[in-house]
Amino acid sequence: MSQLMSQLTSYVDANRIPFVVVGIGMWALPLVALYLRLRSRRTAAGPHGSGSLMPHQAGELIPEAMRLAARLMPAASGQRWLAEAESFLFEATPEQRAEAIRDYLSTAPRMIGASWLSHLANRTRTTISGRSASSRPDTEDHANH
Amino acid sequence: MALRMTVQTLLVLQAFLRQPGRELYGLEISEETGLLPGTAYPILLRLENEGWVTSHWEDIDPHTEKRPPRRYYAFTASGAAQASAACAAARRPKRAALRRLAGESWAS
Repeated sequence: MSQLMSQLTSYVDANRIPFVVVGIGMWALPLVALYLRLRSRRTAAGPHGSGSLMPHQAGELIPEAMRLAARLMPAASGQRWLAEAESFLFEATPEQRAEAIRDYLSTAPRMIGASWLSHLANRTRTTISGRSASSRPDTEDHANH
Repeated sequence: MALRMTVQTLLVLQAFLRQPGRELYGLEISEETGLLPGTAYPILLRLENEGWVTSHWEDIDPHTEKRPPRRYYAFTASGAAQASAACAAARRPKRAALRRLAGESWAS
């Protein structure tokens, strides 16, 4: 795997990585969207009512397709999305649950895209603020001189 | 970045505006707005990113309460004012639409 990654990175110029990532995303997202939409149609009312479940078993209400969607988001966003879904599905009635799972799956591709965009925006913001913070003492030094 | 005021966003804001001090969780928001959670969740995230609402996980023992913790959302200090302004603006008929209506009635 690491060999493959090193080969890949040798082909791709470091400056082009963001464009490659966006390019892959543009191809992958519609495919993921299609897969999730098909899965959401097949998803019935969920495994079973939450009446028999203990809180630590709430994860059993989450279908595998939703876990896959969460894995495609940045780690923190995916975990929070799943945790909120678990909490919702646990308290919802079976009818609400079936509809909710379908809705979660059909909106998942947009969530994946939006969570990556906001993740990248945050990273860019912190990088820029970090750079400006590290360059500030220099300017102060210059001002003092 | 300015918040896009969709009908769904307005529904979520109105649910909070009914009792501005109250904290709401996913199922409540879904029941009050009629929106499904997959639709309401990205709206809540956007509102949180813009600083209109704040959220936190409930601090409970899941075994005692017999349910997992809920994530509660509430308006920030500025959020309520911004939301009521946004809802009021949405209620105001757009000038272009009024002009069109006036044109139609004038023509007939």
